[in-house]
Amino acid sequence: MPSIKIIVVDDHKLFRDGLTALIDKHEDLDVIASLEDGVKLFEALIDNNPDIVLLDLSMPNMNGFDVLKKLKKEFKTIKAIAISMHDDGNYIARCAKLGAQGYLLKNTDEQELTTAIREVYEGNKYFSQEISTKMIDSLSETNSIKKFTKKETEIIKLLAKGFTTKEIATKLYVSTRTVETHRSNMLKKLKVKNTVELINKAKSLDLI
Amino acid sequence: MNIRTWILVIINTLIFTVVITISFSFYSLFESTLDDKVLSQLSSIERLKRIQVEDYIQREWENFKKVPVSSASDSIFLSKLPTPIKNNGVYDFTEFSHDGKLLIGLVFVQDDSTYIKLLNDTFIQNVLLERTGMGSSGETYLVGSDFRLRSASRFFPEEAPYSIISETESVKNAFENKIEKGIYKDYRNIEVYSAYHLIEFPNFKFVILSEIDAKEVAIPLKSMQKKLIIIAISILIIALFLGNYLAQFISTPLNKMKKEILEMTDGNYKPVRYKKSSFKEIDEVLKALTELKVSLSSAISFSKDVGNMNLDSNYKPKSNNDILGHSLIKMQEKLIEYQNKINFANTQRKRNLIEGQETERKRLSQELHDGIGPLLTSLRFYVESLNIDAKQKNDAKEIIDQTIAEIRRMVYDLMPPTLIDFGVAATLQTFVNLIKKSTHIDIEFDNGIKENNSKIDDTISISVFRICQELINNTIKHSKATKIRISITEFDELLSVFYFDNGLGYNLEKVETGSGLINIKERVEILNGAIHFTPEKKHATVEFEIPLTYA
Repeated sequence: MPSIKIIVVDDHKLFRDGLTALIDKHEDLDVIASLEDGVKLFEALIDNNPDIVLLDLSMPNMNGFDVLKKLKKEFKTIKAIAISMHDDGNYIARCAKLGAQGYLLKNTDEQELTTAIREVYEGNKYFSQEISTKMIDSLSETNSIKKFTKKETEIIKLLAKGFTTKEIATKLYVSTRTVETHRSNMLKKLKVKNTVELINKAKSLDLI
Repeated sequence: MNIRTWILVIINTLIFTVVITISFSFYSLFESTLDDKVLSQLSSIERLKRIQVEDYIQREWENFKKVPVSSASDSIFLSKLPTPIKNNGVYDFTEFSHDGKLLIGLVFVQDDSTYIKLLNDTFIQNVLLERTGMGSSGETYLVGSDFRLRSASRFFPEEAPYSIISETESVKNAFENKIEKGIYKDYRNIEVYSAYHLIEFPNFKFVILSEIDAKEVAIPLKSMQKKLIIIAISILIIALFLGNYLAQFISTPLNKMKKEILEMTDGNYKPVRYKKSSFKEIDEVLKALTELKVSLSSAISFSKDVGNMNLDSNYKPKSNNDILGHSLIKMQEKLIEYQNKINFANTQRKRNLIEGQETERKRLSQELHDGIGPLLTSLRFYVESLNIDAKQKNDAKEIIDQTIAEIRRMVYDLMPPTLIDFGVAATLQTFVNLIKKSTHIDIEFDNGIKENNSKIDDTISISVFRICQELINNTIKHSKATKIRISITEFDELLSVFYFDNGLGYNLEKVETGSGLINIKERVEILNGAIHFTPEKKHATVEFEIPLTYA
């Protein structure tokens, strides 16, 4: 059984060495390179063809996110696992979005580390329970109607129902000025002159 | 000399002159008219009596001529004459009269016999004493060419007329046939109005004089004079009062103005309402004075405002010549400039302070995260690889994990890394989620930040996050709210943040110093934003806007 070829990328040598030592203890895992940033990684990829890249996110030259983007584009076969100090869902979610197959915290156990490497190598994704929860927490709803933003849609719906600016502001927990600005932005977007025209045109465009 | 006196003197001098002139001319006109009247009356009386006397003598002579008869006594008189009379005619024999009264003799010589008739004074005297129109001092008398009276003097009725000598100018004039009626001295040496005329007979001449005392004539003149003086004095007194009255129309407002101007010199510029004067010019002057005061007052109140650093105060210079106003405005401009500089320096200082603080926090946060963090994880790997007792190994790893967790907390408190990497929305969302989990508060964050081309930079992100964090912490700590709503909306040129909670509300003035509100305000201020609090119970809101043109 061939061993899994791994490249470790982290700007802290001490960490890299620790991690490499830990991985190398396992027969089926082989750290073929230990590099300090994304630029070095892509230099190395010219001659090497790793299975897995263990990738730190915060690095001085070409950080983890940029590496993920480039890998996704140019090295589709190489699977990346982010390993970071950041336990904030936003980092996890972005990594997942950019194509990372797994996400590990740096204070991970040896057990989890090897499991993640093997799972990912098998073609699965690895996000621990804790990580998954954090990731889901941070995902914001982003489906908005083409032309209007979510807030604008809310406002125009209320306008169509006959609410006043003040009432809408109270209802949506925004300032009246914000409602006004949204309203005038919508007028500009649909090239109409007043609220009545705005509502009519929005209806005809199926925006509400 | 004050105006009042001057006006009085001028008015009274004028009136005095006019009154005196009119009185004089009136008086002289009256006097000369009176003179004429008296003299012409005297002269007509004189003429009437002259004619009567001449007629009487003529008539007697004609009668005597027809029947010349001498009485015995008359014949004796004739014989006693010093010189015999040779010719016919009328003679004046008064010098031979035994009682000195007028004695006229008619002598008719016929055939060597001489007839004589003496006419005593009775008839003539009666005619002369008839005093109609002669007042109380008038008389008519005859004077002979010897300047002796022929008829009785009214004033000396007991004395023989012949003994009274009247060699007066009027008599002399009459004898010289110079007829000029006028005022002369009579035989008593008293001034009289005199009309006189010569009565000529072939053998003698008389002068008939009709006279009245000047004193008597002067009585109406005197009373007239008195009246005129009374009228003149009355007019003068009236003029004095009138002048005084009129002068006050000018002097009162003038004095008022003087007072006002003196008050102004003392620094009292309060405008006073004036009574409307009857004169246009005075009204205009008073109006101008009031305007001056108003304009000075407004300049003063403006300078007061400027002095109190109330620099929004407005002042419009009255004209290009309003040097005071222009200098005050210049002063205000300089002060505004100075204040702006100070404000700018203050804001800059605060900005430097806060930005410095944030930079330092960020640096510390990154040091901890990127420096200590990897060391700890390396340590963990090291422990992991140690060949030691499994329990000891786990304990050591546990301690390291706790340390890492602590570091993460510190890093987050100092500066959430997501703030730099993902911006304020993601960071705040995470924070809100954390609050939602750890409390029972219904908290929602509505993110209206542009996903693409957002203009929100790190400085704004940090400030907005810190402000929201502070507001949430305040709500949780003090307000007992059950609901929090945060809305951040990014527009092309501004970022609008609206914060709501349904807590107890708070008193801005009381709460200000202790809480983080000052900090919040300063953060908005250094980003040139504006913040507005409505800390009502059940509906406390904070809204602020930050311009995104801010570089």
